[in-house]
Amino acid sequence: MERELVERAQRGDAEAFAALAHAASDRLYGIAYRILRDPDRAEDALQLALVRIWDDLPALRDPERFDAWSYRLVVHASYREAGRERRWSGRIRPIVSDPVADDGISTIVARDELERGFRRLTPEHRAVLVLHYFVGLPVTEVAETLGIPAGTAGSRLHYAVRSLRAAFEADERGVVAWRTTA
Amino acid sequence: MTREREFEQALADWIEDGFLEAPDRPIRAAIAHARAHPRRRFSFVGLGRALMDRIQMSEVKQQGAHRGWLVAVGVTAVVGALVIGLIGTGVVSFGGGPNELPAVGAPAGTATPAAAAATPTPDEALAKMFTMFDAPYSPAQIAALYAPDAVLHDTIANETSTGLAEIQAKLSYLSTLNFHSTRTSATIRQGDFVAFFETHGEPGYDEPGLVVVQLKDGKIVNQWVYGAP
Repeated sequence: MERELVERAQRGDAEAFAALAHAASDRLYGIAYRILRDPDRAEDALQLALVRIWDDLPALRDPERFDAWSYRLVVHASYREAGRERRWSGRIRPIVSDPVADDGISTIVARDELERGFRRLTPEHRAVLVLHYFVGLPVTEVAETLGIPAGTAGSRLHYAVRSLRAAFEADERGVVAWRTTA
Repeated sequence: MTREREFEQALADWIEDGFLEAPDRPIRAAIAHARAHPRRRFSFVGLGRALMDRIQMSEVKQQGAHRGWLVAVGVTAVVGALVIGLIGTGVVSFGGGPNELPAVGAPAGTATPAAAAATPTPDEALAKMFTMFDAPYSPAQIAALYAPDAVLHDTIANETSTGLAEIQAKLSYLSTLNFHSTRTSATIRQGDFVAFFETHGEPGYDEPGLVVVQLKDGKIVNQWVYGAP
């Protein structure tokens, strides 16, 4: 993110903020959606994060750290959305997926199992996974972004991956069994 | 490809999958907010949080993961020591718990029922402070709690809200953030001045703080809020 835009927005330049918002929103929305797995709630989280960015930007000491700071805000906005009871369960969601790959059946089933496993994780575990695998941050930067000790980030990542892998492997056994009996 | 790598790849592909483009509505709404609100006028929540952000994202990186909290605890301890020093000299005295605050200007337990019935006692005003954030925002409740010319000194944000309207505007915004506060110490009082420690913040952003309140005729006329660095 351009330092000049951040500094202008810090000084109260709403047009600079608009440019920042447009530039950052795809990534921030991507983070929120992947934590919440719900486009509407991710939209709300994005709006909350952007408003917070405008409100709190003057307190950001190092403009170079805008990206990490904004990730933190959208993660916390996502936590807040996740904590709301409304629309949390029983909602029919659009399923967005890539075109089916070569091994269509197992891919679909594996993705479904990953989805189910992911939904069983807490938002805090989801956030670590998303920042690591989607944003591409190493564990130390995930910890720094979330304001948690590196050991905590590492253990959350380990637990989350282990849980998802268990779901994934259970799915693999299911597919093999299905093929054997089909 | 090993099973581990296969899983890692499947996980990375799955997480990458999904929406990649943000909808316009929240962006437009945030920009409209920025144009309509040149800057937030207050924030012992926001700047307190930002302060912790700075500690966690800068100093922590350089000096250790828990330094920020150690600084916070240290400053709180210093403030506490000062207050305890005053207590030791008899300048100030302790009140009771949240539901047993002695009346300001009178020894504990000596407030007469008649006087309490006539006007809200300072204790009632204090007690309301701890419940106001638990209920839906009510301008009438704020008006009943603060004097018309009350001043709220947000020393964290270095902002002052003067008069009931400004205080209502500030607290209205706080209510939209689900702001809450919880007293964490006994009250300490000297004359019309009452001090106590609390934690305050939005859900997930609780921070320690020190509140000093000046009461007059059962209403808050001055309130200072200090946060831990």
